[in-house]
Amino acid sequence: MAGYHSHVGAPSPPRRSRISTDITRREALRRAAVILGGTLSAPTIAAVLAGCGDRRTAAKPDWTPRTLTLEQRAMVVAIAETIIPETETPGARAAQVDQFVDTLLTDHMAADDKERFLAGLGRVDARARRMHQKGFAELTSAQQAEIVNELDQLAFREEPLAQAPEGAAPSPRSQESDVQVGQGVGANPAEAASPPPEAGDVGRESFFRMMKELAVVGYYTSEVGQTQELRVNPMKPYRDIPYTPGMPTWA
Amino acid sequence: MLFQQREEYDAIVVGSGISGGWAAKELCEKGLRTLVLERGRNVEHQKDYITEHKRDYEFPMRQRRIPVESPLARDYQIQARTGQFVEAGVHFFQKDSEHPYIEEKPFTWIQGNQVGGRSLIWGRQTYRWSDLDFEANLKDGHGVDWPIRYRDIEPWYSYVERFAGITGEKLGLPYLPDGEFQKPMELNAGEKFVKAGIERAFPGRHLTIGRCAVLTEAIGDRQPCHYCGPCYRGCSTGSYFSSQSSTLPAARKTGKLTLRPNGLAHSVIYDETRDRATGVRFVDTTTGETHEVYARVIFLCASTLGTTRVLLNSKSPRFPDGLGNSSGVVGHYLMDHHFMTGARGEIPGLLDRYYEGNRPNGFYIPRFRNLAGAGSDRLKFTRGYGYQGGAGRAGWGRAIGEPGIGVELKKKVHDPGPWGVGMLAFGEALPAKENRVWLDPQQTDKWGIPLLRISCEWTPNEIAMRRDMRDQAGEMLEAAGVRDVNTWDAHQPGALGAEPGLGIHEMGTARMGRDPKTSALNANNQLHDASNVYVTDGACMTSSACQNPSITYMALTARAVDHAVRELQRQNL
Repeated sequence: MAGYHSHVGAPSPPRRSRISTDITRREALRRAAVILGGTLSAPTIAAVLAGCGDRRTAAKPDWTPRTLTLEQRAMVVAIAETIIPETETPGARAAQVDQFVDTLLTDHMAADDKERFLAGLGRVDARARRMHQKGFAELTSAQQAEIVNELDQLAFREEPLAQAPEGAAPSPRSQESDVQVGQGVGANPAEAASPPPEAGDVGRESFFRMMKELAVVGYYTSEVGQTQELRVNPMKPYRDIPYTPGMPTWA
Repeated sequence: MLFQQREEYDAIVVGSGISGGWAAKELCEKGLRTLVLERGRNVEHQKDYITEHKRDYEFPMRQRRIPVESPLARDYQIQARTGQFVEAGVHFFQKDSEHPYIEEKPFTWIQGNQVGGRSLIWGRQTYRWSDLDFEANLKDGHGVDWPIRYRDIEPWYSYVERFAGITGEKLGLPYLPDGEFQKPMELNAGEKFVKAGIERAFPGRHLTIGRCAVLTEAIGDRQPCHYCGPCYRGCSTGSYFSSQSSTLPAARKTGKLTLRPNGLAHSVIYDETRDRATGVRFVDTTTGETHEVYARVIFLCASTLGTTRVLLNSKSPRFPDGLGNSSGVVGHYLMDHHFMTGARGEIPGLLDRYYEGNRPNGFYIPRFRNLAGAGSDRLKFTRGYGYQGGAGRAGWGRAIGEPGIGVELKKKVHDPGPWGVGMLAFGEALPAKENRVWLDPQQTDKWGIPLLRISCEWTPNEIAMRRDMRDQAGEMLEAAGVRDVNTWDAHQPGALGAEPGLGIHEMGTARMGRDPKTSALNANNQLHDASNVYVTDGACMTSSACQNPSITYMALTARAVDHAVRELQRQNL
């Protein structure tokens, strides 16, 4: 996995990542509903809510990523949720976009695309650490949104980078891999300064274009995306019909 | 080989796809005990449509196209070149690792490998040919003259259309004859806008709803389309025509059908003492054993290249270059429709219109070039092309290609976006002798059958035609009032993109003709070399026209069976 230092050897104990610990009751119910096919009995709801309070249980992954590390997975969840947040309908996190991304990385992508993706993820984390001395997944939503917005602007910038500072960037996750999750780092006056853009983050071939596509496809083809946010085009004889404002686009 | 009891039938059909299914139905219904050999696995109608009606989110990769580079495409390095190779349909494509061939130049051979063949995954567009097509070779001198004309095939088009069930709109055009149509599907508001614009700006050009083999009215047990969308996964209601939904059940009903899956045809058996073809040698791919089966008449419907391989491999002292190949034309004149060029753009307004239902069909713009006969328009090319396309409103996919994140983005793509329209052309390819397939002298597949080598590339006529295909698409859309029109062409000489074969309309390698010296088949699809062997798949085609060819294979097959049975009754075979 190019450009990303991962834990070697025995698997580390599961971290309390944002994925599970931040889970709201509403989300827990939604997620359970997805898993159970939409109908929930009262005891099931109770069990889900009880489980929600138990952080050790909640932190246990319900599936094991095959390509992403748990840290990378947490980043994917956080970036995807920033791109498509929960509103009155669930967002990318509840749609389990991380599973989709891991599946595509493992079974679908060419090796160089996969490397490009993981390297990009590493740069996002490095950027977060340079700005805030924390991994991306541990930042506040506002801090994450700031970085993702910047990446979005770079990714859709037309002109190429004047001078690509390739090699100038510090090796991602060099010495910070043991930063404690949740360990408070106070406001740092230097943290607002965002590092200069790197070539892999600018334009059509940027990491973020890839990430955004995965988040969008992962979300809008999920059950949540297709049935709660949008509607599935019904099996009805094809007709030219009037459009009334508020009708969602067909999933 | 061990001694085996001689297995005899009245007729043997090699292949169970569109042509083989029709041959089986017609032969069985005329009372012949018929064996159908299919090299692929058995597939049962309904039961084996394992992905039908599954939602996108039930697929781990959400129904994405599987690219050649994907680990899942490891066994499908050729099949993965077509956009139709998606997660929900992999099981209806053959594994290239098991059935390889050799490309001297890029040629994509897309193959099914099951009972029903590619009829399960075909595009279902069905357009009759006319004498503009059957006379083209004679008029401009490319290839040899077809031994038939429209009047010879017209009643057979009607016959197969009534059984298959074709939806479409009658236009009364002599160069694209109307068929026995069920009621047409509807164009959406965007398509009606483009139609009005093109027909206003270009008198004589037409835009119509696609003619396709999907029912809008019931036929027997086959129900009208329920508009679920992805036909290629199989259709339990039998609403689109396939061997599985239509011809094989009809053949089975007669009690005359024996179907043998996993039976890979090796060669036609030729008895020199009796001077006739007597049967087919095949390999049981599950055991590796070779078997021989015998019959009075043989129909080769193994797909253009599959049939060609069998003919070339049917070597005997009498026919050292392969059965049916006394002329030397077998394997030559390989054609396909060249496509992957066209235009797209944005339709202004119409934001008060939408559509519902998943229509398995688009629009069609019939040919408008060289209509007075091949070469008549004095353009830089002879023959012509038609367009297929569709319009729709932008959906959530536009979130990918535009800046913006968060609540704003989610809100924006919740509602349908502007209307867009796209269309691409399918052009006729000329028969060229140097575009050919032959047997590799050394390499074989794992069952010992020589591999095909393929060398094929577009001729200068196709290249010249492509420019017009692209430019006219752009001009028509602009004239219709479409904005931000972009034209495109995926062809790169010598590389993948719009290479021959990708159209999946390969044809022409055992062509029909009037002269046994320059053709393999006569006007009834009989081999000049062996009158009880018929070839009715795409191999028989003398030219390619620009229309999707399957309905013509169906009509030629039904016509050939009628001929064969009459000849059998007269003791002529």
